[in-house]
Amino acid sequence: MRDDPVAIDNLKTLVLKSTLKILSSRTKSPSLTEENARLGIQLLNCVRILTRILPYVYESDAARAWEEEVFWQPQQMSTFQKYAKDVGDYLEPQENLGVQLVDALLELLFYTGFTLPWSDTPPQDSRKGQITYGLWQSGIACDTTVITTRELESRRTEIMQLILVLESKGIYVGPGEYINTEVQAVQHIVQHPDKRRVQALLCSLLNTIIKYHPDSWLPFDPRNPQGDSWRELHVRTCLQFLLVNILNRAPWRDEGRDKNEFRLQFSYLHKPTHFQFLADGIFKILRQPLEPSANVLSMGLKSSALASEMVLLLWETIYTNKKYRQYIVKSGRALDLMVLLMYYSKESQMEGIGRVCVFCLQTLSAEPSFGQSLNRSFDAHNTLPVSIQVKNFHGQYSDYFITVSEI
Amino acid sequence: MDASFWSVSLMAIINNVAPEVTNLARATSSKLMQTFARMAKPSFLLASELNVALMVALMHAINAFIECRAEEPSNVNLLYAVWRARSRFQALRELCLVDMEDLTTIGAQSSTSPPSLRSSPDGSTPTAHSEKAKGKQPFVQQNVSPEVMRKLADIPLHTPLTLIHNVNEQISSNLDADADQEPMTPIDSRRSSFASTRGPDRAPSDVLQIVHEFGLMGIEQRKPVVDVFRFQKSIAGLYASFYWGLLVASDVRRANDSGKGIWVGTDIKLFKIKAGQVQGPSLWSPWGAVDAVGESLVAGVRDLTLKARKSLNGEGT
Repeated sequence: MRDDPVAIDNLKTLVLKSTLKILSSRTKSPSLTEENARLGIQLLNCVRILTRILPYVYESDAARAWEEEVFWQPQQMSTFQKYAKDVGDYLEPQENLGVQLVDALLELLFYTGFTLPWSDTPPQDSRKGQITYGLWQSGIACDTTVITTRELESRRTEIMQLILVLESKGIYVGPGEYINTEVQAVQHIVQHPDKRRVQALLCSLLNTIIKYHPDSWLPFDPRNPQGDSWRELHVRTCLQFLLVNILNRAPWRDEGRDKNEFRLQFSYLHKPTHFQFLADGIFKILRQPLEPSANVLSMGLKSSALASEMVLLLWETIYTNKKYRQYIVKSGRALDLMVLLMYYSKESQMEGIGRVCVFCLQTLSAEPSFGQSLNRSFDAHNTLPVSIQVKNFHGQYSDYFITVSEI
Repeated sequence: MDASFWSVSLMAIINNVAPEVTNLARATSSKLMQTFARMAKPSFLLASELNVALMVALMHAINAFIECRAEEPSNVNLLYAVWRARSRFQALRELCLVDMEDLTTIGAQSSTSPPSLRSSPDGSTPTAHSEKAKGKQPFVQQNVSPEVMRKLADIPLHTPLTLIHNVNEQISSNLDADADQEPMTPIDSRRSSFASTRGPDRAPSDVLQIVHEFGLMGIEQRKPVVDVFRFQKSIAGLYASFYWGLLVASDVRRANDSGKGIWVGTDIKLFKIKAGQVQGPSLWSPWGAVDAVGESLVAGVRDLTLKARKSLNGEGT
């Protein structure tokens, strides 16, 4: 199929028809909700088709060049009219198709009755689905409980997966070219002109990730070995989607082409309650393998599956937000964190995620109060997993760190 | 190779916390000195620029413990451990002082013991032994690079050498005083045991006291120098390949479990990284430890995706 010109043409048709269908259902229809379930299903099918096909488009240099042109360069309306006659009704002629697709998908992530629960106020028969700035989950920037269902979460997952695919175009260039390759979807999202949209997305993602309690869905059920896999997939997709956006471009400069609205907004967080919420959630996942119950097979596997991504998030949070970093050190959590980071470094044989653990440690160590806190006596050493115990240890955290790091 | 990168970063961390750390345990202090001893061996030190950089980083870290609290010594176990390792420090100083011509011959001897251990106490260089030694060595390591030699001068040895000198002086003067007071004691044997750099050590409590009181005379207290982690553009691509690697690896796992994968089966070029293909700034740039990170991150991704693919193809995990 990859070399057949007819097949390639059909592929392009499918891509464009699916894209236009998504754009039309977002603007033409008043609602994607239960009353209009057929439309919602059609829309999700288009999302699935694009998620499946676009990686193959990006993989081929020729097809990727076609995508660059049709999605990210200005086009005549006539280009699209052969795929859908009514494009004039919903396509913005001044805007690139790619930007419109990304914006439509971002809005669909916040659509009442489709990806957000109904608010209680309107009576059932007069409900009208709409795009809002509501959050998926309570936590930062939202104090009231948000109802969530499997359907809402699964739809968000599928839409995020498509956005991730659009953002993944960069993995189809070599490592040397990557930094100079502009992935338009990423650029558009991280520098999105609607700051409230970014805020709603950032807080929704953070809150969903942080509030995840993997252990509360146990015990292990042999009839359902995957557990509540849709929720785990949802949380993992949230975490990956957050990472791809917040980590884009290294933070050597916060302006111009390298500006990142996600990172910027994250750096504004300053309330101790938010910091506590973040720290509790991140530590909860990271601490799992060190807890006695980690012997339970299913749980050990589950936690390790999210831990690497969580270490990346941890590093981003302490690197980007100085106040959060100081909170971690001054609240006394840094010592636990040091032990956790040593654990993950050792587990990874100091490669990959182990390196990121060292970034974290070096960033923490630049805080003078971190050094001071190391003078505390490390009495709980015996409770550590064997892999990070030091034989005949007695001393302070500083002694532990220097000894266990095996410089 | 990666172990070295790990070490460079860890030494930066130790350097950062050292000014605040007090009461380092005896075992920890010995551990630091064991690391020093291992890295001070000419066979290790002269082998590459990286190794010299490691030694520089280690000495910065050790000095930070001492110099940032020079007015109020608070890590006496470490000071004592430095004094105990005096012969190694002195040997390293001699190694750093010899000129280019000598270095080639030291390289030749390096497979046995540090040459300076065999040097005479009057401070003469080991050149006199070199011709003979060269002839006897089955393994001859030629050409210690000029870069390595130039880097040797960067190893900051002043503080430990001052400390060692102070303590030795004080021990000698105490001995002289003792000798004056106690004429019946067999002076010669005692004197030699303390004056010799390789002789048995004096009772630790005595020396600890001396180290504490006199060790840091003439060493000026300095402000901490923090080695901050800085992201730089050159590793952004590598970091991206790492987090995308995590995404793709989890996608492969999912495909394995449920048959639903997204990127599985496509030809991802970002992870096709060959050693040396990505050129960052050298390890000697100011943020050296950072770009060292790059290669090992990539090693992590390669490993991750390889494992995932293998398990997908049923080749075992």
